[in-house]
Amino acid sequence: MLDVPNLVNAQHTLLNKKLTRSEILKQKIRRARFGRKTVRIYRNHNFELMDPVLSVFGSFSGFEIETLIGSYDESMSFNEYSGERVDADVLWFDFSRFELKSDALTEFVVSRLKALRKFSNAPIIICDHPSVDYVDFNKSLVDSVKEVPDIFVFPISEIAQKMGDGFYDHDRASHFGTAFHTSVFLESARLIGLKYLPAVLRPRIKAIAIDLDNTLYNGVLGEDGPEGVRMTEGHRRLQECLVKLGESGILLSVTSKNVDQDVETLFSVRQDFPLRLEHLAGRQVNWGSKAENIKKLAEAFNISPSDFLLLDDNPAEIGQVVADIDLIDVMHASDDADITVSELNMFPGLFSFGLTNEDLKRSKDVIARKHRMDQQKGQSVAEYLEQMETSLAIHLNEADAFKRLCEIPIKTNQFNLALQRLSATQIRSYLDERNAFVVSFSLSDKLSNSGNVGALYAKVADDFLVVDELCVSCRALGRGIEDFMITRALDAIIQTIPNEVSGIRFYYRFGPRNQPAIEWLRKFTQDLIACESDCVKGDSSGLNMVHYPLNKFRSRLESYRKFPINVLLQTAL
Amino acid sequence: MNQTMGYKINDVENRIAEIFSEVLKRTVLITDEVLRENEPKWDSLANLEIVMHIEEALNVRFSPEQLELFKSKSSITLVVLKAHGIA
Repeated sequence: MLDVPNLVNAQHTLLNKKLTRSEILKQKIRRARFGRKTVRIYRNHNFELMDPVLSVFGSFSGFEIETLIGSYDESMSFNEYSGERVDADVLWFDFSRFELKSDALTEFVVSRLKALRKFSNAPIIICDHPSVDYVDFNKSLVDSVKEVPDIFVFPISEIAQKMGDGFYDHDRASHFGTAFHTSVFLESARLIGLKYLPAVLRPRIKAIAIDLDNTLYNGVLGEDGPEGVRMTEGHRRLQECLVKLGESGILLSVTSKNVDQDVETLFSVRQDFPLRLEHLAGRQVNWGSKAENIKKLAEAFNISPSDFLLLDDNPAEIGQVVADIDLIDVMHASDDADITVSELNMFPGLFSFGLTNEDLKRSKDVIARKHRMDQQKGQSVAEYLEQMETSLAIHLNEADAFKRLCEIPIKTNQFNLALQRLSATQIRSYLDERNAFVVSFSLSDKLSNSGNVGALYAKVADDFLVVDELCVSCRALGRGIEDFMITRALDAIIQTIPNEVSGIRFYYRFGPRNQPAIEWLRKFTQDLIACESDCVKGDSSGLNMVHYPLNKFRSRLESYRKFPINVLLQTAL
Repeated sequence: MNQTMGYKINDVENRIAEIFSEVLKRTVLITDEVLRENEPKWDSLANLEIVMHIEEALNVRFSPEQLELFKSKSSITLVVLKAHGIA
């Protein structure tokens, strides 16, 4: 049973502007929803000061962080790498210790990052240079790491700018093993633990369920009326912050114990609200349970309820929702909305290093989905697809879509067959190697262009086409075309293989949320996969494999010959 | 120069004893003397934790010379009391 008061207290302590080391270390949070994560630390100055506080921030973010701290490595030799698999690498370097000018430093650091990338598949987070004299280096670092997959810059220069002369503590450097002031470690641990590590280690929050009374504004709608609820400056900033999050691809929704008509009137009357009804992808306003409301919203958005963040001023409501939806993110809205804004800007799972077109289309796509479902009623799948003028584009080994190809295995949870969470380096190898393939597929219809909605990562081995991973975005599900998309994608690969394969092998894994993918595979292979309880695990990772004969695949392909979807094949091979 | 915040001797001694208890993970009373050379858990990292906790809790900043004196709880307490002008 989650201790909600403890969690709320931890939120206000850890996400608050003023950090104290003793208060941070007192927090005991036990909610490692995303399990243990191993983070290797390369460094040229003290990291041990950060370690215990990073652990606390990591706990709040849902991880049990285990750090492997290397020796002091002044020359970025990475000599201590010993081959163990880690979830992330953090390069905690004080670049002011390098006596190199900007250009030379850029060249050196980028060459070392490329060297590290050769033997580590994990996402890498690297600090930039604290000094304003190295603005050019910092800019070049950001530009240069785009050449190397899965490298992210932690802007310690922004902390340095805020702290000014207080950033360095040279007098005591020999005692502390670092020239940074000790308070730099608290702020860095907070940013790395709450923003940057979650951005690479967990899926981004997909939707926010927002309470109304005393959360979105000050007051109670049912008592104060639409004109009487108060829009403080803090609440205005909060609504603007939520709108920005919506524009970044997070679905906004309202869940409130009120009368729906009153809420409609509220938004109509209050033109001073930055958040408008059209920003909301859905709302559930009734006197029922908020957990049930969130489940309904999740169904409408075609995502899992645990992909939500609930923002609510009432800890009791928060407790009831968490009791029902175990893995959901929750945040307590403060009386002072400015506190809520600053905590929302720190909340783990909201920050993303870079947004794709698919992120930005998400809200429109969800609204379009509702229209599709309305149109689909009473029609067969074929009639509906023909009416919708659905088009499928299949892209074979398209290197230009690399960023999206890296995101898909990380972001998809429900239709994710093997849960391998492939790294950028692994995906690069599918693009570069002979007999390895990445097929992505894009969907559009007359209501919306959903963009890139899925990908399949495969290779030819021992006379078989082996599908290592298959992921489809929840935005593409529910139209009855998953089978068609995947069949055509597999055919696109088979057409390019010079020697005919004798069958297709799929890797799959039973996870807590990927039942849609498992069910699809069960039907596709006509029940050849084992039940979870009967499964003989090939290795300790829980990966299983099923073989699907080529002749059965060809029959399936033939059955789709007249399927009413336009297919465009684009290949880089 | 550190500003005094109206601390009394007892406040300082209490807080330092609490900090030693937290960092060394055992009960340390105001009246206990703790010597670094006799305390296995008082390693270099624990030493830095003690410094940071005391600086934060008691609004002091130890100079490099003062940090050299961190050999016992009593010597640290004396430095803090002097910094606040109450020793």
